[in-house]
Amino acid sequence: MTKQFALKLGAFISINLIVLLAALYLSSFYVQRKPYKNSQTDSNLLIMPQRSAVDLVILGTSHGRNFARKGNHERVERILGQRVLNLSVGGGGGIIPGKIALDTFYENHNTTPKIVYFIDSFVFYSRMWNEENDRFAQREPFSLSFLNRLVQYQVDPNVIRNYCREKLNYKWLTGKPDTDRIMRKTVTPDEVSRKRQLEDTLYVDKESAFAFQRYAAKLEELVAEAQIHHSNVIFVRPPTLYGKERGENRLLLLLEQLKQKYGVEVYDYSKSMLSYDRFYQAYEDPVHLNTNGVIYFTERYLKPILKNEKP
Amino acid sequence: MLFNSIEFLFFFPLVVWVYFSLSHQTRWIWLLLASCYFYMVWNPPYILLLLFSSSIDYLAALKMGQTADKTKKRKYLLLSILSNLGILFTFKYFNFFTDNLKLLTSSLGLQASFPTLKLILPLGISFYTFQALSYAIDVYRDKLKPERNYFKFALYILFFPQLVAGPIERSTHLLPQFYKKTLFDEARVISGLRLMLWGLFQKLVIADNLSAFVQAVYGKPTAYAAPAFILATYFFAFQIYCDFAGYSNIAIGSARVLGFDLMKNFDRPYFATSVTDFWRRWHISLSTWFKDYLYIPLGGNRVSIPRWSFNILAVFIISGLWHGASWTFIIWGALHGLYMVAENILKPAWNRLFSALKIDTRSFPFTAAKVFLVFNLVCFAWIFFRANSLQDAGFIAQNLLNFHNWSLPEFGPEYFVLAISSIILMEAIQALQAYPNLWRKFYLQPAWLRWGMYSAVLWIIFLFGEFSKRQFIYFVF
Repeated sequence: MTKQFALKLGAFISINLIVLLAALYLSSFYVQRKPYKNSQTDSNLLIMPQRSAVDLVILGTSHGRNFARKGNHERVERILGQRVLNLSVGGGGGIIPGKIALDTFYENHNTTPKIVYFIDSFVFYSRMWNEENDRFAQREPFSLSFLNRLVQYQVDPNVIRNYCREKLNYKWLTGKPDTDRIMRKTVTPDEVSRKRQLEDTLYVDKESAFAFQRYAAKLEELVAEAQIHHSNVIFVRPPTLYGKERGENRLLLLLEQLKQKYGVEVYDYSKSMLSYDRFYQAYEDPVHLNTNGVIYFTERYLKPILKNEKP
Repeated sequence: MLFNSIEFLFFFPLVVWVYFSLSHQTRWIWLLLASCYFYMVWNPPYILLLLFSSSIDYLAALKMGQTADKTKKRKYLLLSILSNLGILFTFKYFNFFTDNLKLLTSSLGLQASFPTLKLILPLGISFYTFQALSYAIDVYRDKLKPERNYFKFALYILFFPQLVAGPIERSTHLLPQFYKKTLFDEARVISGLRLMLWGLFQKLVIADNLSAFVQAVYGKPTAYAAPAFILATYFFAFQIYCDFAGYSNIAIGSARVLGFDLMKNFDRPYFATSVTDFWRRWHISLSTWFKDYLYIPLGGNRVSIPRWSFNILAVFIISGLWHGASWTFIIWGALHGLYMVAENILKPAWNRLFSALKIDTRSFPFTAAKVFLVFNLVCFAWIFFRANSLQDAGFIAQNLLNFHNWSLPEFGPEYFVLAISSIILMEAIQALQAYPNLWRKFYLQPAWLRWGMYSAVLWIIFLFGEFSKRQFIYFVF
């Protein structure tokens, strides 16, 4: 191959990469100037503090994210009387997106004494919620360190491409802080009847023991990392109208092992708000709390846990 | 390995770099190893099947070359044909055959059980089988001397750019190229890369974006009526064209970068002015294969009109079956056969009518009307090609003019803007291909302008491409 051609090709690729990087940084810089709050975006990097001490970090999937959305974050902070940072990853954020969020939190020299992790069973069974979950990265502004982290965790190349491409998307650029302040929607009996449909979506790859072991190891890494940074992890199974989750025995066993090994706390509230007649006003759908539910759960369960009282 | 995967992005430059770093004598070994790896990424054990079938073809051809006795030669040819078609039948058609036998026996009131095979269809089996068959037949016809080096013959079958979806190369064209010394020619490499880029645009920006809408309609046809069916079928026409032509362009482009010339597979098929013309422009390597190895041996057009019509229908029905073991493909093939038979029979009458009416058949409006008519006939046949079942195809065909329901799958306006504008852009560029001088002028433009255009295409692919690793449609054939 001629050197001249290699040089030309190299120059072509470099110029395009430089233009791409410039465009990504410019668009991220533009979006980062908007005054987002924890309750107004699902992005974690847009609201990530630097060198801050927060009282509590919340991790998990959308079950945890609902504790921040639409003004719920301020409500939770008010009830708990603590400064909270919600880094849960909506859109089925599995163990790896959670680990990336926590890594970034510590990398920015932040500290917290407590982490509440709303843990679900389904995230242990598919790459779709972990390495192939491109929704969480799409929300984050561009930075080389975040990109490096995605590469480190060997996420699917599509996740990386979509992470970059989204920064040049008109919708991302023109997005605004969510000004809606309440989650009013309540679950209907019809929605409750579609349990099988929901499970088929969540457990796309069935319940493989091999996949579980793989993500269990990642969760253990997360707990160990938190301990290094002097944060206690409190695992909470969130309430749903269905109660029992597929693969929950395996999950409970894992949490018990982590409790023995690392002294983490484990609270299973998955069946604490089961009755439709009594709790339908607390759910926006069969598995997600709405504003009423978040307030109820925080007052009734979360606050006592954090005060080391029996709920 | 998919051409539209990240793996290929690393695989191909590595292959090219090592290929041109090696001496001419050893390059083919590297290509063979790379081709084996390319195939094994999909399913490693299946490489053995390929090597096994190619061994039989190699030995049969060697034996044919050693004898002048026609009867003996025919036996070896038969061995090659039976082994190739036997493997193809076992993997692709066995279950279709037994399913239909079951239906037939049960409709006759007979109780019979037939076995079902649970086999994965080898990737590109129909393509490499036909390529191997063409080699054996050409040796039998003394058009070609048998290849003595087994590994070079294996490379002819396995050559990665065209292994899984063609173009179905002729041994007389490709095999001698493995002996030619190729130097690194910058102009040729750039031309190959340009073709690959164009292929990626067709596949990722057009085909894969259109597939979402097509899937939504064809996946649940009972929810829709004429507006959705017409739009989805038009979209499918461009989806399948861009998918397959995109693949072919990447294949031809990557071979060109390595210094090989593969045959043209598409020539702006939707500009065809007759169905015969369409088949001169669509999947050229397959249609010429059928012409050379089936249509002409059947007598071609040098027979009576009924026999000629039979030959056409037979070739098209077999071509439909080649695409897939399903009645929908057979009907698709039969429809094209019927179009061609009707075209051939009616052509003299039409010509008389047009001259009596003093219609200028060379005028632009007349040509445009013919293009439109042929496109719609082709689209009607695509319904059978795309539908998930014969029932679905029948439902769509029956309701093609039923406008009682105007609902469309939920896609935002930006989706349609992207889909339609990318189709228009592609067709406009293809229309310009009729003016080679224009392209020559473009290649003479300053480097910054040309490379700027390549960057623009790259950016369009990056921003608007659909990268969900969708397989090429023709991989399953």
